[in-house]
Parts: sequence; structure tokens; C-alpha cells
Amino acid sequence: MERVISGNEAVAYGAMLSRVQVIPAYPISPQTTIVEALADFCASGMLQADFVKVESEHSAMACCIGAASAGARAFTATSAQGLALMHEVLHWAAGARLPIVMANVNRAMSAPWTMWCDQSDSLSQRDTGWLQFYCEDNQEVLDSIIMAYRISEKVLLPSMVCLDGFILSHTYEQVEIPDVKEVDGYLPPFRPKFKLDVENPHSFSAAFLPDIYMEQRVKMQAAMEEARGVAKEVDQEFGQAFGRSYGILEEYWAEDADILLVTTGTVTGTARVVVDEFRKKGEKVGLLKMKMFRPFPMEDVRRVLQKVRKVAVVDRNISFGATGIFAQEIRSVLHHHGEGTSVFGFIAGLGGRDVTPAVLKEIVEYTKGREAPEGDIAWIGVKP
Amino acid sequence: MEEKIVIKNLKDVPILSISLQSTLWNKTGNWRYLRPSYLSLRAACSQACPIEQDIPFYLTSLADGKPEEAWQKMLEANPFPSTCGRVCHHPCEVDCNRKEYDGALSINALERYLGDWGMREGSPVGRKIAKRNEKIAVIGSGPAGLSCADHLARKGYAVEVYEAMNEPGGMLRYGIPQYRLPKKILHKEIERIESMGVNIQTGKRFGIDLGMDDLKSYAAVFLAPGAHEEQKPGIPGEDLKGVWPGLSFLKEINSGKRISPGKKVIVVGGGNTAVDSARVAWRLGSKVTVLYRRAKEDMPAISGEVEEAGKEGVEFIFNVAPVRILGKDGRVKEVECLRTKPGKLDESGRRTPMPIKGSNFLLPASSVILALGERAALSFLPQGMKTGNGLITIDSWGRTNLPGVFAGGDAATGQGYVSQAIASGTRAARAIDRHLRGEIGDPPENAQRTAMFEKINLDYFPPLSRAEVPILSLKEREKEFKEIHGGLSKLKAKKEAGRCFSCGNCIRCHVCLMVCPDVAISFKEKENEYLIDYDHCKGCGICSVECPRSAMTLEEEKWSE
Repeated sequence: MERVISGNEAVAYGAMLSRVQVIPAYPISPQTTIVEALADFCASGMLQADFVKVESEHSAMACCIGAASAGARAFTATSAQGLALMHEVLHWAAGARLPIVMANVNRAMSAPWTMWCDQSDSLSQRDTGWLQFYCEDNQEVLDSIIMAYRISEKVLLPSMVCLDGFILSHTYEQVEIPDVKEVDGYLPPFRPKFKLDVENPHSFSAAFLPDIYMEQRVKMQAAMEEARGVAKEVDQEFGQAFGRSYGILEEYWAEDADILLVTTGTVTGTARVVVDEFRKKGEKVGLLKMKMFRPFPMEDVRRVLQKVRKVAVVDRNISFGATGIFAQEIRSVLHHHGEGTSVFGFIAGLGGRDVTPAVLKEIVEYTKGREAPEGDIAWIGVKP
Repeated sequence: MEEKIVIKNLKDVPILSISLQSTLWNKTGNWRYLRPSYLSLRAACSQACPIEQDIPFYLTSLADGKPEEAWQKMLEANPFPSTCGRVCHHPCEVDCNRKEYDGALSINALERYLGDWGMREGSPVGRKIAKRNEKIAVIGSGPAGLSCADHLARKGYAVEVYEAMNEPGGMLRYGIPQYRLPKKILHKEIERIESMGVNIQTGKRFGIDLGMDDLKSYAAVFLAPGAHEEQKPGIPGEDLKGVWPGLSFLKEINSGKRISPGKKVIVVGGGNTAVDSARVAWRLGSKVTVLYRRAKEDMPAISGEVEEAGKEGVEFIFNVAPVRILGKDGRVKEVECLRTKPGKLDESGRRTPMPIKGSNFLLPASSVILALGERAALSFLPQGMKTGNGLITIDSWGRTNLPGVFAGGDAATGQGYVSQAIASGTRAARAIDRHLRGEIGDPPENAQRTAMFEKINLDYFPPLSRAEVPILSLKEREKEFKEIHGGLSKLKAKKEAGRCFSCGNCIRCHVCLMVCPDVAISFKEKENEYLIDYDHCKGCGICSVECPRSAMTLEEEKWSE
């Protein structure tokens, strides 16, 4: 069924089609309409789930942890300060190896107070042990929620599916909503190996002493590494089942590119248009779309970037005192592996500033005109 | 516990922190010093009901969409739900815990709803097979007599009811006007009692057509003749034409006779007979004034009835008493009255009215209705039966001083409400059964404590306003005996029943089970009850404190040595 829906509705449809069983919800813009839509689905009987009104985002995630520990498929959604409030329990969810899926509608962090889009909120949770995926359009949002459950339940780590606030969350696009029976075939019910069971009680998440704590961390890292391959398989199977496939990253005119843009989220859609324009002029500009951020697809990124002279990374975030986070990660991946590649780090579009074709052209021209980056950061579109 | 496990290889480390063995061995219950348990308390409404009906049970069954279950249970306690749902003074609503919150439950209206539902849709009660050899005679087919008969029939006794009047029902039939209790409703309720095998013989006056000697074949007798002897004021003119004793006036009307009391009716008295007579006269087209020698708050009549009478235009003059009825050509013309003031407190806790000298005044009247109360006629009673205060002397279970002879209703209790009469009949039935089985002592009384409002957990009850029944407009009541109150709709009744706190009674709401942090409470589907696993209950008390309706207790644990 094709429908014109917002990004937030796409999230809600994705969760409903995944037959989530517990939805602890706490409102925050621009996420709120996700849980509102899910509340409507529950109220109308379209979705058989426990919708739990909680008193904070911290409780929302704590409730997801309880539900998932008991073997339920749990879902919640948040944004910005709400996600930050969850921080402590995000670690817990991952360490307890619970395959929770959460949508994060990207919103810049306050202060100063803002509701507009950038990706600082989710990226500042990068070390919590959660898988992270960034979506380009509403269709990818819906599909990614379903795929995230498949991946998470295989590797037993939670997933965060990110979408740009307002640019996707409140914008309507044509979306193919898969048939629920087909999704059932693709995503079987969650049957965890370990779960709370009163008939067979075990102690969960109790202390690990220094003699084995580290080994548990080794296993978490192994699961993260396994997730790269799992995500690829899950994506391919999704393609076979539904005719849409995204990969964990996507190359666009990358093969022979002299300059390669690296983008995430909705900036990718704009970048495709800009790349097309340069290619029409005969200029070898290409694009690498980063969908998966955690685990970081190190091998794949190396493979693509090693052969490119200049890489222009567009970061819609900043790690204060360092650089844009994607630029940082890419530089570290290329160290010892891509000595001939110059990585230009651009910061653009913070706090809702538009990243227009003109902005991306400026980035390309800047890169074209310099042999090597002048500094670690190039700010784009900042008032003089 | 097992011995300590030493992990040597990476592969032996679990992916998450989980105990390798079951933790069932850990009997955390021995940390407990408080012990929760389930304890039913009595709801305040049940406590207040003379019949001690299990009101929360009916209401929760009805709210659950099980009217049949509710109705059958109701009938076991009270054979007159449709009648009581119309005319009971409903002390249950006065004591309802919900009145402290957002308005008492409309228990009376719900009783009527269930009674009427049962008449239309309930499965027939069916003939009760006489399992007992003993036959029992009941004198009087009013609410006391028929309730006793109904209970005895349910217990398997053959019952014969003797009624002096031509129709059964006693005061329900002859005392209560149609607009409060339509005859067809009463008729159907009596029919249902008869369908169980109770035989009613009408036109048999005890003491005239049959006496105690004729009842020798019965193993027990229940006397419920009612109070029919009307009190007279003993003032000049009380025998004039156009002067009616109140009950006789109502009996005539209720027998279908046409009476026109004229333009201006004076009613004397403050009880239900007075108010009923006044409202009947108003419906016959008269202008009505009620004279009462005390204050409004002293009136024994049901307050709601007094209020509606006032709305209809019945005028009340308080602290006034008639001293003389004046006539012309043998017919009433005027009533001479004297004002009174409250004097000393009497036995009933009310002040004795004292006449004020020289305060006389005249009121014109085409008819005068004297409703000064009714007394039991005791002259026909068997020899040796103890009486006092104009009543047959009984104990709290209806036993008279004569063995095998029981009594109830207005002739024995002196209480005037229908539900009290029914209660006296049902209690006597239990005592009769006990007597015939040769058991010594009283039947067991309900010893439960009452659930207090303070113990209801209001967080579980969103405020909901009380359902009110529809009532005829004043225009619709004029010159009409159409039933004044309507019933609740199915939807409204279910919703109203759902407001019941079910004080002190577990309705299996699962709150205790859901809040227990130790998963120590389970629900046994088959037994329909909860089980507390005291091996693991730590005594945190959440279940008992959270229980919405005070059906759990928390007491200090008495650990044995």
C-alpha cells in the first residue's frame, strides 16, 4: 500500500509492522508524533501492545529494559535532551544485551534552546554500545526500523534509527507500506535465549568481578563487529523480500571520483543532485552515503576512500575541542591505510541551518581549490 | 548453594551478566516481618441495607456484563428487587463510601434496573422441589410474609400464605400509590414467588375466617398481618363526611375506586401515608395542604418524596395541629388549627410539640385526610402471645414467646420501611429453618468489619458523576398516575455499576499481582483466587497498600521459633 506520510508516521508504521509489544513513551519535539501515532494504533486495536506512559525518557528506556528482559519486543522514540537523559540506561540496555530499537529524531542540543535539526544528539551517544543508522528519506526510515529488529535480535545489541528532525520527521513523502504478513515472514517473533522467567528464575545484570568483566566486553565488541555482516545480510534479504535495499553505506559516482563527498541523513539527497550537476559538467565528483555509524564500517570505508585523492566530509555535528565526528572517524580509519587521501572536514547545518545545493557546491569548490586541508575544521556558511 | 564456579576460558563467560544457576534456592520470604493476606470486609452499603444484600457483588457482576448472575444472586436475598428499586428508602446510598468522593452510587436505580432486567430477560426461577416434610403457614402476603415464604420455599419447605384482602401484596398493593409502584410490577414479582410453589390463599382473614387452631398441621407459623388499624386524633368533627383515614383513602384508590376529594384537601400527618395521600389528592386535581405538628426534619416520610410533593405544589405547614373539624350539612367545611412549638425531647429523640395558646386559625377544606399512623390489630392473636407497645413481641430473629410461632413486618417490628419488612421475613425464615432442623441458638450473623472510605485507594477511580434517573415533568404528573421515575438505560446502568468501589471485596482486578515486585502473587484460574508465595514475599506491603478496595490486610508476621 502506498501512502503519503511523514517521517514520524513512517517510524510508527515500521514499529507497528514489527509487532512491537511494549512502547514506553515520553513526549519531546520533534519526536512526539511518533508515539502519538503508536498510541492511536494501540487504541484502535491495529497494534496489540502495552503503551506505557512514563514520567521521563530515563524511565522510558528503563521500561524498555524491563520489557526486553522479559522477552518482549520493545520500542521507544526520543530526541535531543530526551536522549541525553537516557544516557545512563543506554549503557545498561547494551550491556544487558537487549535488542531494543529506538527512533531518534535528530535535534540539536541545547543551550541555547532550539528545536531544529542537527546530529549532535545521537552522535554524542556513540560509545554506549548501541548500533546507529542514519536515514535519507521516509521510506528508508520505515524499512530501517524493521531491519533494525532483525539485526539487533541476531547480535543482541540495541539499535538507534536516526532521522533528521522536521526535514524528515514532519515532511510528507510517498512511502510504500509493506504488507504485515510479508513483514511477519521477514521478521519472526522475538524468542530470546535469556529472559526473566518466574518458573526458572535467574539473577540478571548482577556484578561481574574484574576476573570476567573484561571478557564480557570482548564479547560485546565481537557482537558489534558481527553486526556489520549481519546488517548486510539483513539488508540483502530485505531487498529480496521487498525490492528495496540500502547497504550499510552507499557509493554514488564514487568509482573514479577525484573528490568524494561523505554525507549522512537528508544531506545525502541534496548531495546526489549536486554530484549530478558536477558530473554533467564533466567534473569527477562522487558521494559516499554513511548509513551505519555504529559499528563503524571500517573495512568498507577504507575500500572506498583509499583510492580517492580528496574526501570532503560534511558533518552536521561537532565534537567540541576536536572536529566533526564523521571526519574524526574517517581520519582514524585511513591512518596507515590511506596515506594518499586528504580528508577535508566541513561543519555545516548546525541547529537547523539549511544545507542547500549551494552549500555543498561551496564545499566541493573549496576542496577543489586546495591541495590539502588548511586546518582540521572548515566551517561553512558562518557569518563573517 | 553450589560451590564457587571458576571461569577459565573466554567461551565460558556468558554474553551478559546472568547467574549460571537458578536462583530458586533463595527464599527471600524470610526477610519479611509484615505478612499480606486477603481479607474481605463488608461494604458500608451492605452494612446499611436491612436485608444485608451483597450490593458490591451485583454491581460488579452487572458492570462485568453478567446481569443474569447479578439478578439471581439478588433474588436469593430479596424477592422484590423491582419493587425495592422503586420504593426503598435506600440507606445503602446514605452510607455508600463513594458519596465522600463524587456522589454515592445510584444503588436504588440499579436495583430497579436489575429487577426489571430479570423480569424481561432473566431465566425463570422455576418451581422449588419440596425437600422437607414440614409445611409452614404464613399469615399476610405483604413484603414480610412473602419474603419469608420465598426464603422457605428456596430452602425446600412447602409454604401456604393466607391473605385477608382480595389481592396479595399487603401495603405494597394497597398502601403505595401507582405512580411510585405500578401494580403490574408488583404483580409480576408476586407471580415469580408463586411460581416457586408458594401457594397464596386470598380473602382469608386471620382471626375471622381461620384461627390458630386451623394451623395445627403446620410445623411453624409466621405472622405478618401488618398494621392496618388507623389512629384517630380524637377531635370533634373527625367523623364528618369527607374526612378520610389516610390508609383507607389510599386503599380505595389502589382498589381502583374513583374518588373526588374536591378543590381543597387538608392532609394531617408527616409519615409516608400522609405524603402519599397528599400527592394522590394532587393528582386527582385538588389543591393540597399538609399539616404537621413538628418540623420538616422530624417527618418520618422519605425525604425525596417530601421534596417532590413540594415541587408538585403540595403546601406544607409545620408546627401546627388540627383541634376541630367544622362542617356544614354533615360535610367538612373548615379545619381549625393550633400552632405548636417544640417542647422536651421524647423517646424517639424528637421534641414533643407544645400547643401555643390562642394561635388558632381556620383553613377551608373540601376533604380532610387523617394520616396519623397505623397500628397492628392485636385482638385476633393467639392466647398467651406476648405483646408490648402495641406490637407482637419478638427477638431479633422473629421468634415470639410461643414455640414454632414467629412474627415480622409492621405488626412486630414497628418499623415502617419495605426493606425492613422484607428483612424481618428473611431473618425469620432462617430462624424457622434452624428451629425445624432442631438446631439450638441463633443463625450466624455477619461478623465482618466494615470497609472504611479512608482505606479506598482513590488513585484507581477517576471521578465520574452519579447517574440520575429520569423523572416526569410536573405537567406530565398532572391528573395522571403514570410512574414518576424512569429507569436507567442499559448503557447508563453498566457505567453506573462500574463506579462501585466494591469496598472490601476482591473483584480479581489483578492490581496486587501486577505491583508485586517479587512476582510472589499468582492467580489460580480454576479456583478463581490469588496465591501468595510466602517463600518469596518479602513483605514490602505494596499489594496491600495498592489494593484499590481494601480487600487485603498487612499484619505483623509471627515467626515461630
